[in-house]
Amino acid sequence: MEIKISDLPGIGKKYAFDTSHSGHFVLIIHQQGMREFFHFKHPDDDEAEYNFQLNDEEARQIGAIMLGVDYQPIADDRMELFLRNVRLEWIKVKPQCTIANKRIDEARIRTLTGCTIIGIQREGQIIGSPDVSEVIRPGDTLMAIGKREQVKSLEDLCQG
Amino acid sequence: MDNVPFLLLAGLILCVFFAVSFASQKLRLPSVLVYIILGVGVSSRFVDSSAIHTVAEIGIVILFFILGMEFPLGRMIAISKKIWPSGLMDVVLNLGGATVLALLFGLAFPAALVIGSVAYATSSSISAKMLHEQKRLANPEAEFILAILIFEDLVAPVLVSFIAAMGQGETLSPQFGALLLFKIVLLVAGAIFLGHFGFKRLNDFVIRHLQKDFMPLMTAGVALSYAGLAIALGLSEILGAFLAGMMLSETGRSTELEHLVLPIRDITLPFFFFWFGTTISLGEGIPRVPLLVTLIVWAAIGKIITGYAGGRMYGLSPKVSSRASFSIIHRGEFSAIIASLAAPQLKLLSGIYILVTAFMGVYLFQKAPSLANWYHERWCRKCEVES
Repeated sequence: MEIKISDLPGIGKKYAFDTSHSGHFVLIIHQQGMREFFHFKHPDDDEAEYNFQLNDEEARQIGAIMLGVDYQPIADDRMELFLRNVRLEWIKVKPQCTIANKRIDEARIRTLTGCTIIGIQREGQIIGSPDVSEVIRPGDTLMAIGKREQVKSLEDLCQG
Repeated sequence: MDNVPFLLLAGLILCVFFAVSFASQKLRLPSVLVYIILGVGVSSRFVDSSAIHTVAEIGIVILFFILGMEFPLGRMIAISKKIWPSGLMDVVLNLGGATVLALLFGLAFPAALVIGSVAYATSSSISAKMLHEQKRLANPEAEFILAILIFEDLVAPVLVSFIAAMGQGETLSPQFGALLLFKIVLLVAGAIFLGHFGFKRLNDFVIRHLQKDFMPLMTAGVALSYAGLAIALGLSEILGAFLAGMMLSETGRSTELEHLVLPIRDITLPFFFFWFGTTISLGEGIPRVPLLVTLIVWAAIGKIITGYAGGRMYGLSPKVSSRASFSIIHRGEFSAIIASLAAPQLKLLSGIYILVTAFMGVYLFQKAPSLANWYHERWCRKCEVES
């Protein structure tokens, strides 16, 4: 993103930039500390569509949040790495399969496949992070997380 | 009024200033105007007090001192490079134009020059306030308008020096002009020298002691001494104060130093406008009505041409330029400073001129976007017809 900086003598500084999704913005930092945002639909527009103001403290707080001081989403490249290795799948339990009508611990899913069941969808309801004593019924949809091959072997198990 | 204790008088005046300034915020009027009107209102009962005059003078000195601080030499040159064609046109049309008009109406040259100077500068304080209030700071014309104002701020102190010198009864001979110019150059060179070899090295000192109680003393001390030095040389205190600000800005800490003297300005400057108002007594009737009306009409025309042509030269679109042109008509503090140096008759004329143009300017400033749109539509239709 390119930011054009210019002086507004006697008033403060002006920062103009184009965003990839939301048009053209101008930020003015006043000498007294106030921040004023102006939004232009197109960079060529000569009048702002709307504007808002933040005082010095508000601007600093929001600035810190935007920087990621409190919460940092996983960066794009890390997310890709994560997705390449770990899969989250919804798997339908066929009636004839070996794990149907067994408790999760009886079915020994973790031992056999390595997958973790993080949820069960049953008759339109979701059982989140089910207990190991939960009985898997035919027709359930298991929400399972694991590596690619682990998920694959659970899928095989559910096919029967 | 003589037997009212000074403290009581000063305190009451400050309270009244506070009240009218607060009211002006609510009424969306420039506070400069409200102070002047207040002064005019009490002018018949007000005995000119030297104390108030002194405070007013300090206010003006600090105002121009702060202006000077905003502009280290390098930055000033950078801005001037881009704006000088428009700035020069502003001088020719508004200073020159109004002077010629006054001459045509039979005024002598010195008086005409005073009138021209009163008509010259757009009010910086009103412009800054209006740009902010009308949410137009981010618009492309804001930078242009502010640059024009800076150019005017550079011309103004020199202009005031000429007027002040003439006010001391000197005749405008070539020798006198040359001497005056020499003094101005001397004062400017002194400021550049002190700034470059003195204050530039005080950067560390200023950072280290910024919070100490002696820093406002140093800042105000430098401002008042250099302003006083200018007066001693027969120049204007405004030029001295402006140069003092420029000198201190070489420390690279002008924002911080500015904050130290801002309260002084906020307390003392209203006294100037108020005092100026008291010197305008409407009892004598309005003098030279035809000249006044002509000047007011020219006040608008001159600035509109400057704004439009200047804006185009600055690289603004026709629409934005026309918006700029309707946004620089108000005269204000600078004109009042010049007028305060004028003879009583001219003072009254100038006072009315300032009040009328200021109100007209504020009104047109608010209307500028719609005026520009109207103009743009007409202009475009004309283009289409032509093509």
